[in-house]
Amino acid sequence: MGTSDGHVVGTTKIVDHGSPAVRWNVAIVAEGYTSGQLAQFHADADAFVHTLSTTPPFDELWCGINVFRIDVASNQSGADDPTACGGSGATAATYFDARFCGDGVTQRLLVVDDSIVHTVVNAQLPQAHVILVMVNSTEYGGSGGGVATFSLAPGASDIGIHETGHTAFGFADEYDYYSDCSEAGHDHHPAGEPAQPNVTLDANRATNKWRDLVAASTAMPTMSNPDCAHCDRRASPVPAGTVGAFEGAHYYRCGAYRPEHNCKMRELGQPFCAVCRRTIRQTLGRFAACCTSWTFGDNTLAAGQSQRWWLWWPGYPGFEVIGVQPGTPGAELRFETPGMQLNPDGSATYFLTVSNVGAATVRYAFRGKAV
Amino acid sequence: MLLPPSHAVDEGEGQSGFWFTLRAADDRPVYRRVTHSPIRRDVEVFSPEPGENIRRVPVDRPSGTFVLLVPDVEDARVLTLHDSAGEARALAGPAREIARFELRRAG
Repeated sequence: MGTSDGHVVGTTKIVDHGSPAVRWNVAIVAEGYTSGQLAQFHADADAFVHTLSTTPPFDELWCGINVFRIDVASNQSGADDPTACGGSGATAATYFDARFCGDGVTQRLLVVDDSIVHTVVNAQLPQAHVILVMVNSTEYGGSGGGVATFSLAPGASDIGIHETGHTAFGFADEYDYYSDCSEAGHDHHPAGEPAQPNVTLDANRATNKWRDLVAASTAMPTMSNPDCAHCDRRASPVPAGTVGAFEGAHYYRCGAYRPEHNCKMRELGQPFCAVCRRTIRQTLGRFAACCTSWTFGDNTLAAGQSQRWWLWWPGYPGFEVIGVQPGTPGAELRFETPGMQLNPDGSATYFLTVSNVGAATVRYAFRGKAV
Repeated sequence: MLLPPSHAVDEGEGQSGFWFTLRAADDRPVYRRVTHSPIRRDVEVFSPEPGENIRRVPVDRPSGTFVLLVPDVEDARVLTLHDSAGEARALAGPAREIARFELRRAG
């Protein structure tokens, strides 16, 4: 089982937005496809690309993303499906040794040999930022880790996008249980503020890590769990998309908060929340810098100086600063997360402070947009 | 190859999670990225049904390899890893340094 059960055919760039040296590179690897089935893999990879390219905020950053398809032919089709987990008992001689029931207990745990995947991708596409393995089976399954693995079952591609949230953007899980809601020991989150951007122990409006996205009219915390012995499955008290602090996250029912009532890091089939979307934009901004328009600020800033911007927006659409793009190579700019005030007429004013902490005068630009 | 930007290098004290840091010879941090722990103490299992369609199952004997992409920063001399994961199923509070590697420039 393993590399003797097939061979690497080659790599094809299927989304080409420029040199891999300056783009964010996604590798899609074939597993469980025979030589005669690689045309099917090409179509399956194209379908995943369509899903990714229409998932916000990847849609608006698409010009900064390359996708590579790595064709690997296996001797047999599919994946092992052990009877120990209620599977068919089928076995398949495949290059990455794909198998359901990866822990001997859980049927939908579809795993591959990560070390072989890394070896192949390092040889084929050393500039890969994220690795996704598509397994040629219509049975639902997948798993995460350094390599995201998923089958061809309807909806399974969302596994790959959720796992990309972990590996590429450092997102925490936002669900409030580990295995299930009845599990003991997961009532209160332990001490230690999570370093991840999308969960926090801090629901204080003045210090919360995503406070700039919270409207003054939104209560903090926005939703508290009245019974820490059970998961809180009540409907949201605020409209969908409202950013606040919702208790129950990071495997614990109380003491940890998530930014919105739901998010792809909490439940498959959901969109990314505003905090996750912003982090993705901040991370991929440098890869997509050439294809974005910087519309709201453009100035020259001397060493040691700071500038503050006021941005007015009618109504209250919310606001995200997507990034600061220094126009000078080697520039060292820092910006404070924008503050916000709600005006009496219902409009909102946002604040952004840009500081030049380097030794040279720099020219810079930034942009923002409604959430 | 372009890599994602650094997270704030002066944060992390008292925080939980996993991150890696590039440090200069005087131990000054020059690049830091927070990421999901690549050490596979558990794995996620997914379901197609709406609702609680993600859960975790612990791995009996964690083992394997992982890859970290780090930028080629001129004065980086040391790579450190911080992790707060304890036994599977539970977080162990603030992260601590779990590994330190000296970097050697090829050629």
